[in-house]
Amino acid sequence: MRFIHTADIHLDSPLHGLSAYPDAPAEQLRGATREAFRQLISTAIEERVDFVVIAGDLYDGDWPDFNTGLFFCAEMGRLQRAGIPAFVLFGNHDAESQMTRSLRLPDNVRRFSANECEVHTIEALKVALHGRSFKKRDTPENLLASYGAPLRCHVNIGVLHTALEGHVDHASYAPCTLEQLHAQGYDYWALGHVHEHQLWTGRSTICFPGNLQGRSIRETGRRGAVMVTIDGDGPPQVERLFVDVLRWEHLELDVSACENLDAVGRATGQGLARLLADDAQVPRAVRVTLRGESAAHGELFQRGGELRAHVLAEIAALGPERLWLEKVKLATQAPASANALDAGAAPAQLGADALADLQALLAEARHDEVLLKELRDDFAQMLGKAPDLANELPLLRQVREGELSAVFDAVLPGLLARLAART
Amino acid sequence: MRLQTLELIRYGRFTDEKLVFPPSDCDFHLVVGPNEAGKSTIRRAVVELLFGMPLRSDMDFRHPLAELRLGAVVESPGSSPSAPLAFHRARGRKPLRRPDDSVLAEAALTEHLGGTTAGLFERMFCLDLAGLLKGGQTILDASDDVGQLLFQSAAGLSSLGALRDALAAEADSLYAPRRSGSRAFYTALEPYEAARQALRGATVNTRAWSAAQGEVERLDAAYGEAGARYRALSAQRQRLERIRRIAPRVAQLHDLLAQLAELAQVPLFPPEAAQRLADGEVTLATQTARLELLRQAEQALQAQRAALTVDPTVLAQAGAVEALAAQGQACSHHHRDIGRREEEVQARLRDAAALAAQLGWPADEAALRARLPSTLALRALATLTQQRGALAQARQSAEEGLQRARTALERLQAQPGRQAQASSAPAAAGIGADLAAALQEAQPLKAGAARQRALEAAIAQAGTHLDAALAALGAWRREPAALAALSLPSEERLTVLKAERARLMADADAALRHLAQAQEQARRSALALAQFTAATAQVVTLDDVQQARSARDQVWGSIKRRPAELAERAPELDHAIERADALVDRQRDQADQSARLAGLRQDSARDEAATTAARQQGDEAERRLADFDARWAEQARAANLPGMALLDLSGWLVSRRAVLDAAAVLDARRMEQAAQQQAEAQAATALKRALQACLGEPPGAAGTTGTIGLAALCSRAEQWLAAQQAERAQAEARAAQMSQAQAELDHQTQRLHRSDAEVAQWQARWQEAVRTASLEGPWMTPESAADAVGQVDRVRELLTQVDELREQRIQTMRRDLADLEQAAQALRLALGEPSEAGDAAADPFAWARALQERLRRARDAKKEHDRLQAELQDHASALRSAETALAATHAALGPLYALAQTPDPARLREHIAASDHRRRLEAEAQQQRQAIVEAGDGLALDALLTEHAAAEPQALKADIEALDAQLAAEVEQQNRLAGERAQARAALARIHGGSEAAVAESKRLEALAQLGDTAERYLHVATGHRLLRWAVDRYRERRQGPLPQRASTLFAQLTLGRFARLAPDFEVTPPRLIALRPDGERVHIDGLSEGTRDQLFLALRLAALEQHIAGDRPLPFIADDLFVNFHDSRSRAGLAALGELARRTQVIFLTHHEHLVDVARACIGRGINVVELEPA
Repeated sequence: MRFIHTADIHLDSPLHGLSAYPDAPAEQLRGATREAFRQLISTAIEERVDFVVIAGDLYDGDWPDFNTGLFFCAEMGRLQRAGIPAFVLFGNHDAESQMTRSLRLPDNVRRFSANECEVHTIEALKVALHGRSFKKRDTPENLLASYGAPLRCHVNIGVLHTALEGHVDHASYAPCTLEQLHAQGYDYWALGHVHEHQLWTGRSTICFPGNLQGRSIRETGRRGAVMVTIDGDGPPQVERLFVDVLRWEHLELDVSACENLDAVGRATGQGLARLLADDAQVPRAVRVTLRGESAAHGELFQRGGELRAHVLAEIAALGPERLWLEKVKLATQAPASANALDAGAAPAQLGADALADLQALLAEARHDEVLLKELRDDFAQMLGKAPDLANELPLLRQVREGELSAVFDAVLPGLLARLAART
Repeated sequence: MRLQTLELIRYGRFTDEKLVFPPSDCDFHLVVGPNEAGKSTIRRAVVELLFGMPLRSDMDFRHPLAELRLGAVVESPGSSPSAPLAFHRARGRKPLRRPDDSVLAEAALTEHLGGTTAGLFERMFCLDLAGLLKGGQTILDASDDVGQLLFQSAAGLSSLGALRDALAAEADSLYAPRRSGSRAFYTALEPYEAARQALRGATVNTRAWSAAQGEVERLDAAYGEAGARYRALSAQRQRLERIRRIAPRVAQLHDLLAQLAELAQVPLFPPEAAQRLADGEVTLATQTARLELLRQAEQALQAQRAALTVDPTVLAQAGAVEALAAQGQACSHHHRDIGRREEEVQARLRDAAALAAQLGWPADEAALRARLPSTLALRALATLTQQRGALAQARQSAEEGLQRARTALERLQAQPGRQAQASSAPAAAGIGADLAAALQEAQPLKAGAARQRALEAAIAQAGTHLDAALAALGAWRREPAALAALSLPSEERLTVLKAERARLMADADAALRHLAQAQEQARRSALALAQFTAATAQVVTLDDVQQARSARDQVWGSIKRRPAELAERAPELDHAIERADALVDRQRDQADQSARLAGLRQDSARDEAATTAARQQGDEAERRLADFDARWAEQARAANLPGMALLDLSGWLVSRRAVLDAAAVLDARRMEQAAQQQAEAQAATALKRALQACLGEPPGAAGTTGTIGLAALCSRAEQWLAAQQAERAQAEARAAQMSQAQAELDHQTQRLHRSDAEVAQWQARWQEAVRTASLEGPWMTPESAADAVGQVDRVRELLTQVDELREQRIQTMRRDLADLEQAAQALRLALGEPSEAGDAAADPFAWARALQERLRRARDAKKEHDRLQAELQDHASALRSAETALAATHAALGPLYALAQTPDPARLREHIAASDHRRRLEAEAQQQRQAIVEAGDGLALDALLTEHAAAEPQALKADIEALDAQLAAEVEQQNRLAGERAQARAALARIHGGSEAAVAESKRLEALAQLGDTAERYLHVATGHRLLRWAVDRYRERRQGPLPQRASTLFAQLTLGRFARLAPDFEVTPPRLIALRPDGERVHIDGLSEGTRDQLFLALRLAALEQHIAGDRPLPFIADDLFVNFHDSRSRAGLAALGELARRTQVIFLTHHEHLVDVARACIGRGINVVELEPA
């Protein structure tokens, strides 16, 4: 018996943080979650699996477009024509979504009730699936308590949307422990909710397949579902199925050896080429973070706008259809020899140099209410022109709330390094 | 910190170069050297000495990179550490070394440098011309902002303005409150807003989809109901229409069924029976007639065949007859051709006989063939004829060659002077070798005069150098020998002594400064005490208080004693109380002042004591210095250098070294001159002796008087040797030509002999060849031989043609005729017709033609016979077929007669007609039934007949019309529903699961990401720009006091008073710096000349440097050829300003203008230290 276990599909959920510059492969990757799901269903049909289990979060809870549901129906229709049943459990996002209640799913789709644990069986395979959907988004109670005993002479599969014992990135819904899951006596637990792939073996095999397609820089690495094979009395065999159409990568580069902006651009190009050395055919969304004590620190600060253009030029050379630049983040520092000019150094070390005076003055600027008000007013006006903007970046959020210290922290060292460079 | 010495041990072009910078009140040092002398190297050296060498260096062009080394003695007078530090700077992990190369901790040097970094040192303490010019330019660029100007000038930073402008420009390109298509923020905002709108348009919420779905379902149901109603009405109308349609056919059917009932007894023949009977009767008549015709034709053919005869004999020999005819045809002209070929043979034999007669040969064919010579003999004759010409030509050439050689030899022998040999050649050669040897010795010395002059010049120059060096020794001038013998302190000891004196001087200076400070402090204390005492003269004493209290008590006592006076004296009492209280209050207040007064007095006493102590210390320091100087004076006297100052001794020692060096050079030159003169005299003697041997007379005898110079002797010897050599070469050439001519004569004689022998040999071979070819005769000469050979060849050719005609033509034809005769004979035997003499068959050609005709006739007869035989066989077959067909026709009609039970054809025909009528009626009835079922909408015949029987025919039409009206109404209703349903379905179909909304959301987030990037960058850039502006404003506010004030003074000084001062112009924002002329005229920075701007920059830099030194440790200021562009008066002003700076810190001024030495001495003081660098 073979089946596919997937979860956290978040159909039509957009990619976050990617801006569409002229060469970006935006057209081909805008429907990434749909394309990944389509590929999963195609795999199910080609591999002639016995059934498909979806362990919650088909949709984004606040996504209102009914077309998303219809797309899901169409894909289930493909499974129906291939004679493959699907078992769908609704998670917190689905419970929030209006679509879940209104959509009419094809006959091959069987849902799990939200009122009690429901058991679906396939007698021909001697398999029983136990599951209970979320009735509402906030479900803090342990749903496991309502799951029944395993059916005799059947392979028993538990389907559950849970944060397990808590997870930093995910709301702590339907909590339970691994011990409780093992104690239930099922053969396999098909879990959903946590977006990272995880697998535990033991009395039961317990698995989070991870989400189907990464959607932001917080979801790096390959994504997909799992193929589960249960034969005879052995434990279930779990194999990952990668169906994501865009991989997120975080390239952290030490540019301490780079003397100037051009050298940083070249080093970035080499780093990106190394990134493509594996699975070159998979398009990447890349964040580049530059680190290290670099002589180019001041120049990078001043010519930050050009830096992005340099990196995009390197991408154009490597193949713009394969790389989509998310962001270039500057986390460099001035070299240690220039540390005397760092914002943190004591002014006494600098002698009575005018630069030291300037540094001392700039330290005072943080507390100059007139300057702060001028900056706050300017920034508030800008952020007011695009209401959603401040929600996008932590820095913008802080600025909207009038907190400028992060901006000062980011600007001052670069400014001083640039001045001390004497070029 | 200051540099006592700087050692360029291995660095750049320098090796072990040491620059000494002795201390003085005005610590100014002028380092002078021409271009390329290494001034800029010295500036680099100071920076690298103090702060380390870089990994890569271009100072390794003379010494390897790893061995670069600098050294110095540094000191920090007036601050810790007090002891000077001597150290070396090398490369490697531990670059700081003591002079003995042991490792020195970095901290030792750091103590002298304080917290100064390399960057700060280069910005603050080093200035070269390029920096000055650039500074002047940045002043212009920053002229609109005094804050930035001060900052840049003071800090030596030029990038601030450019950076601030760049940030401002970028911020503006990113965002500004005013919307603009060129600003990145708004460029990203547009797609963001467009995507939001697209998202609103494309999103379909669940309620909208449910409504569309419900509408489709409702209309589907309504449409279905309308359809059902229509179908019911339509069925009813169809039934009535059907009954009306079949009614006429039902009536016809009933009629036919009645007629058929009457014909029930008639037997049924097959439907084609009548036709079969008629066809059978016609066939019988035709077949009978044909049979008769066939029988008659057979008899006629048999008669024709019997009449034919065939010749089988000749047919059997048909192949042989045709072959004989062909053979006869081929030989038909042979007899005539044989006669013609015989005539041709006779004609050729006649031609041959005529040619033979010319050669003297017989005419008979057999004899002629016997006389014909062989081909080999003829070819030998031809070969000899060709060789004859070549032999004659060779002999003539040999004769001519012999004549030429003989003439050449005679000409050579006739030439004069060939006997004039150098009879005494061997002796001359010996003398020549002696002369050549003497010449070789003398030649290098023959330019002796020039060399002598050069040596004399060098000696004179060395003498001048020695005099100059001696003059530099000043009062302590001694002869070189005496100088060398002086007992002087070593360099190391001198350094120690100087260091000790410097330390003593520093101590004295420090003590003096300390004393001055203490005195100043004491003066201030005394002043403070005096002022305080003056200000608090009215001090309330305890007596005053007690007096006031007793006065109060007295008043109160008297009132107590006389209470009646209370009302009257109350004011007096109040006054007394008030005064006493006031005094008490004042006394209490004055307690603080008293304490302060006591404090001031203590301070004053303490400061006085400190002054006394400082004075003692100063006296002590000065005494120690005086002692040291006295000791040194004693040592100087002992060294025979009375009055020599310690600090001057190093310089004097350098001058002494120069004197000793110059004396050594002079001695060397003089020795060289003596040696040269001696060598020249020896060479002249030897050469003269050798020449006399050659010429036989003294060389000077030829007209010259006195001694001959070495150069003239050399020249004469060279001439004599050259003449000898030319004569020998000429004689050798003539002897070689004579022997060559004799050899040529011998060779040509031999060649003529060889040619004669070859001609005689040819004559013998010719005679033999003529005889062999049978061509002897008087006419046979070598010239006519070719014609004779041609005639012989022609005779041979004619005889060959005769042979060919006989064998190949005539004999072949005769063989063909015999063959024909033989073939005719054989055929006759085969035909049984043997030949007989005189028979016509004697002509085989005619017989063959007759036989061919007989064969043609026999073949025609045989062909006709075969044709008749085939025709007879065909007739027999046709007769058998006709008989069989007749029998078959009778059999086919048999069953019809049997069914009619009569043999009569007429009766049979009647029966068949009745049967056909019955069959037609049945078919019509069946046709009607069929038509009724076809018109009956698929119902069975019985059901239709029943339905028809039950109907009311009269009401049918009216019922149908009513139903038609109802149906029309239903159709209209259905059409309306179908339209509505199509619209609802289209609306639902538009919600098809497409990704338009998702794509719009993606675009919105993409635009938002771009906005985020732009906004974040704007935050950084705008903050950076505003921070710089803010900081520069603050800097201006805080520094516009002392710095511009001092710069103002320096600027006035540097511009020689053309400008009185600098002042900020606060009327504009941000304030600008302006220069004021003595008459009050205000000049903005951009109105200043370039040179004046440079001076302004220098003034600001020096002011900032002074300010820096005041608050921090002083370091040497290195000025590298600053005043190249200044004219002398301004240079003087600049040097004066630097001289002033030199009273605060060490100033090292590098220049390649020697005249600046005097200028500097004039405007700073004679005591400045001048260090001269040797050219590279």
